[in-house]
Amino acid sequence: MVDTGDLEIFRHSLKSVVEEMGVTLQRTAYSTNIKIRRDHTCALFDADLRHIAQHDIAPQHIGSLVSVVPRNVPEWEDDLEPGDGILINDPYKGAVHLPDVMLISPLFHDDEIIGYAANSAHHVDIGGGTPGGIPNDSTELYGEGLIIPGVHAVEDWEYDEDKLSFILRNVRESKMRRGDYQAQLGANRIGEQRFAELHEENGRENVETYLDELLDYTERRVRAAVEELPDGEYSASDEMDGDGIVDEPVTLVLTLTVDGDEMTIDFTGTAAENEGPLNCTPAMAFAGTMAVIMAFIGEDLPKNDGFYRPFETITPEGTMVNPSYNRPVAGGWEIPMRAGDLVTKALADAVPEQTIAATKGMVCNVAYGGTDPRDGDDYVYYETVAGGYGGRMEKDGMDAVQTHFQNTANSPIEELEDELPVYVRRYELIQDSEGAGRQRGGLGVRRDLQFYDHEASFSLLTDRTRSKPWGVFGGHAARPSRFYRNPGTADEAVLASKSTTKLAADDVASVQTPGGGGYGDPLERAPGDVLDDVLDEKVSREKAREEYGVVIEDGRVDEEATVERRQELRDTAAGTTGENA
Amino acid sequence: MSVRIGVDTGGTFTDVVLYDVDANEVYITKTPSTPPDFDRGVLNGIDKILEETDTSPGRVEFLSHGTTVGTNAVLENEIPDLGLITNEGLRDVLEIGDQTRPELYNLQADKPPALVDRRHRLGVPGRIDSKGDVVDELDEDAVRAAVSELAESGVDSVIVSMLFSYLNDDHERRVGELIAEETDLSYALSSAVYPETREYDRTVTTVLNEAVKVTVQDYFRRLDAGIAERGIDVPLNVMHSGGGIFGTDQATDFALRTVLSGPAAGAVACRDVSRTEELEHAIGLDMGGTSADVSVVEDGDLVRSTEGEINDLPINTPLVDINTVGAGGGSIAWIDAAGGLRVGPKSAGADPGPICYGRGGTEPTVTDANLVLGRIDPSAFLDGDMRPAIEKAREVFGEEIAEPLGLSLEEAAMNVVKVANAKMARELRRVTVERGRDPGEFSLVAFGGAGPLQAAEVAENMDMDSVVIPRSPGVFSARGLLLADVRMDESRAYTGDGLDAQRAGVEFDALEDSLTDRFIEQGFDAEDVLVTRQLDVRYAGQAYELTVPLPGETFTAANFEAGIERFHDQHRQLYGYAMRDEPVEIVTLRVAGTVETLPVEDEVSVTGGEQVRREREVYFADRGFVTTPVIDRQTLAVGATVDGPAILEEPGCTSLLPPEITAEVSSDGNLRIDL
Repeated sequence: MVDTGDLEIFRHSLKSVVEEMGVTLQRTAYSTNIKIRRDHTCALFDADLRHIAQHDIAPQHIGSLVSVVPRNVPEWEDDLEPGDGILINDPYKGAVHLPDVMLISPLFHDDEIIGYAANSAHHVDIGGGTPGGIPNDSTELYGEGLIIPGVHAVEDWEYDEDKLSFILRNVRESKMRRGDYQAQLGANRIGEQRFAELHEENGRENVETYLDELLDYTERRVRAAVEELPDGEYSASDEMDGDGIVDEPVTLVLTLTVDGDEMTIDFTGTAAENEGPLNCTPAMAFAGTMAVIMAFIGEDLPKNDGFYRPFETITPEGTMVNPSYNRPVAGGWEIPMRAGDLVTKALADAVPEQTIAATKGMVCNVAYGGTDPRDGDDYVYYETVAGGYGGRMEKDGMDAVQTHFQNTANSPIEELEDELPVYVRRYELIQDSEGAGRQRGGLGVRRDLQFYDHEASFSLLTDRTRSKPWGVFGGHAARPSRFYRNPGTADEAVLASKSTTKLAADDVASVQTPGGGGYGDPLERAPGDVLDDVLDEKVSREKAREEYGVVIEDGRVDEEATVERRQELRDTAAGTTGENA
Repeated sequence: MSVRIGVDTGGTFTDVVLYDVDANEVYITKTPSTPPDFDRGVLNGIDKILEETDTSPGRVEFLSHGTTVGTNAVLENEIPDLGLITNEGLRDVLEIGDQTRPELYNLQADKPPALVDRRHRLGVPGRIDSKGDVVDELDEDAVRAAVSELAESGVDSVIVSMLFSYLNDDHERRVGELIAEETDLSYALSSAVYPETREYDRTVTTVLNEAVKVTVQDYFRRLDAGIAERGIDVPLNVMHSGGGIFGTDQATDFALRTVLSGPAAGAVACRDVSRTEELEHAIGLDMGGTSADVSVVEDGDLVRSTEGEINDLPINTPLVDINTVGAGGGSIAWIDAAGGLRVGPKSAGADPGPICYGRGGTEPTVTDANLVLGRIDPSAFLDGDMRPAIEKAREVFGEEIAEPLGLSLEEAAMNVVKVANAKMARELRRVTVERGRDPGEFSLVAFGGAGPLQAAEVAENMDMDSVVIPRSPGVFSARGLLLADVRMDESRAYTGDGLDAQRAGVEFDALEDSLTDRFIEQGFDAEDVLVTRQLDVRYAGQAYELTVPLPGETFTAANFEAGIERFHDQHRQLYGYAMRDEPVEIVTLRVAGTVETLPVEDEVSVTGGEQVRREREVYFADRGFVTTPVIDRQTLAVGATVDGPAILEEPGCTSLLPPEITAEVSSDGNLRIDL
């Protein structure tokens, strides 16, 4: 019998090992993407390849290392020496998209393997035809960059220069990338030191006992949390925009089955794999879904082998969540993002007090580049834009935030304008983009970039121009995403969600993200709250009248007219079927 | 013929320290805080200590204050109605922030509030580019219309924040002029309050400063008046987040700088102890009922930062780098759904507090565990009959923790303390590792009501070699108020291109002039001000910069070069490499002026009486109950040693010395424990 206090201390010690790995990686990395946006993770595995600890800062990485390490290490483990390291990013060996490169190191103590340290970091470039790793026209994995199938690149805690230089010759800004690869190595090295210390302090046998106990304990906690959800089969589906090659919507289906203390996450019914880059690997589908399920079952559950035991994931082969060999996956994160929305939709009736209406539900990959007229140098840039959050039982959805597995920050306008030949002409909330509701959805964001004095290439690899973020329990749907060239002018043009556009000098590109859906009948929204939104120009007077039934005159609610208007809207709704704007 | 007084206001108590310079002695008293009008508590405290020490107000030659009024304004969102004028199309920058949400796995979380209602945020045409050149002229008609709209809306004050105003403030100043012409509204320009890059940070800093200013200005006015009324003939100094003091006028104008006033005082006191005890690196652990403030001393100096966070809002003012950890004596122990023992993050706080306080607390806390283990004396909390509260604590501990775990009451309580210590150790480890340091290189300086009880075990957990428990650890922060130097800072974005020493020199001169003026306004001689210079530098293309000091008392090209060298070195230390051939760019210039405050060198006073007050059964891991002496710390003279196990009691604080460890009273009266 393990002492509960000692076990809890062991859990904290183990967690500080992965945290130190994470901090080391973040501190030593060169790319903003890792240093500032924290697009990385670290994990530890024991000698039996059981996942024992995870540095939990970027939810999209929850499923990645755990799907790669147990699957591939058995192939290599006989040849591993102390200080070795293996690089891998192959989506068809359990990894995610190519820019997420993983480094796996065996950990030795007294000449025996005691476990494995692994980390994954999003590299801003991984080669291929399009800078920034988001080509939208590739029909094969080969077009998306360098595929690293599991390369023995590190010996004695140093990169084999032949192998590293081969990788670096194939990627842009190789000096920065070199720093990032070094940072990944440093992180695993700290992992070895700290994990070996844990063995010294406790003895190998005790560590094993603690680990068994810890994984079982975790499993018990997760099972207890799943048990709290009512049993049942919960299904939801949505349409995604086409894949950029074939302009037809495709269906995403998610069924969550809660059976006692177990849950099945089933994507059966989802559309077949796409020709273009709208495909994701099972690891991505799992991570995106789980990032939201986590919010329903308890946010601070330890992530280890015990965590995953109560879940089964079904991703039928040949569908866009488990594509056949070498299909492109660059835009794949759009699928798990939308699956996150489907989790909240599926569970709405089961746990109405916990769920939310649909969010912006899109990653919003935007990349642009050209030649800077100020100095003649080429530039490339990648960013994502926030949108609306779904309405909640007692609170409105947040305006302008990242949602579900995504929580990366924006670039300050002053940084951007200093670095690139653009003016950010608008960065603002979009009036009336919210789904009306008793608790309204959050507002989407409009970001207008003017590319002055030069021609620029403007790429989108995103989604949700067709399917509106839905409302729940009578809440209305929100405005979907829209993209324009030169909005509000004579030569305004709509851009597709997966497209690359040549912009003329001084053209404006406008990214307009979706709002979030509403929660509950907007006719029940407190008129005072509607008035506040109208005074704040978040909602127009017209929409207040049409969807919320609130009549506003001279900056005040006309109580009498509002009662009348609301009755009128109720009568109309009763006469038709459930109107869902 | 003179005394120096420090007054540290907390949520519940106001601590007062008086240093009698002639007698070379320190006196301490406590008085209840008086929310929401904290100034009454401060003045009560001053009256009380003057009376207790029979000191005439005329003898006060120095008065210093740590306040929570600014902190509360931000924490409790007491934000007045403000207006904002900014660029057309960008009025939502303040609300969008960095576009992240505060918690990953919580669908019910909320963003920090926008601080200015959208209806009061107005955009006007007019644009300046990243070189400071005008792209679009300011549309003055639009400005006039916006100004009169805000005037009619009844806002208290207007913030003006426009892109690149730190490079060219023409548009902001013109908007200010038009506000003054058209209305009698007060206003604040971002280029005057915080002339640095990144529009969201600059805007939110200016807004927060104005909001706190509106809140604190009456408070400081009342304090100034109260002090004058008492016949105290020295100005009030206020501790700021940067670990220095400044006058009430400065504290009003730069109100946002007072938000870490209290914790900064503790950090200053920690640095002082680390110097007298000759600790190269130290971690200050100020642990109270609800939370612990962690500060770091590296190479004898406080680690500083130029950005912090409070309530999810960025605080972009120079500050002592303080991490607040949600763990304290009031942290609640509980059993989770899988039968695991957990401690925190929920806390019983100070009210109702732990069960053993007898103020209605019903959930088992770390303090209750310490009580069960015999580590604290229940009479410390209660007057009169304390039996019912103690019985209650034991009963709840038994039912809610021991029984579900199948352990004895004491084993369960021991586990709660172990878990709390392991959590704290993990947090401290993270703070040092983030600075590229091994926690084993640090000494732990523990203070506050709850710190000294857990310090030795936490330090052992982290492989630290030594712990210092300073004199009067319960009111240690107030002591820091007597030690802080007068310090003021100024900064602005560098407007030149590349590494131009001459240009940097000119800009530093301008900054220094304005800094010196501020000291002169406060009645100091320019010659007494020690000026230091710093640069925020990065490799061109990097997104974030490092702050490096320039050596020397004056600015010279050689010192400038040396600063750039330091940047490369520091980059190597923190990030593992430097790139000496890459272009380096300067982002911000900083100057700090300090005027030294006299040291406090009070004699270690020893009271008579029995050293060992009594003996008590105290529970230790792997040993069970051990008969342990309870020692009156105030009887320990310099050089005295105490062998563990021992409990050391003194007013406001209990320290624990585990078995097989020896502590010694240093020549400055601090308790040094070598592990």
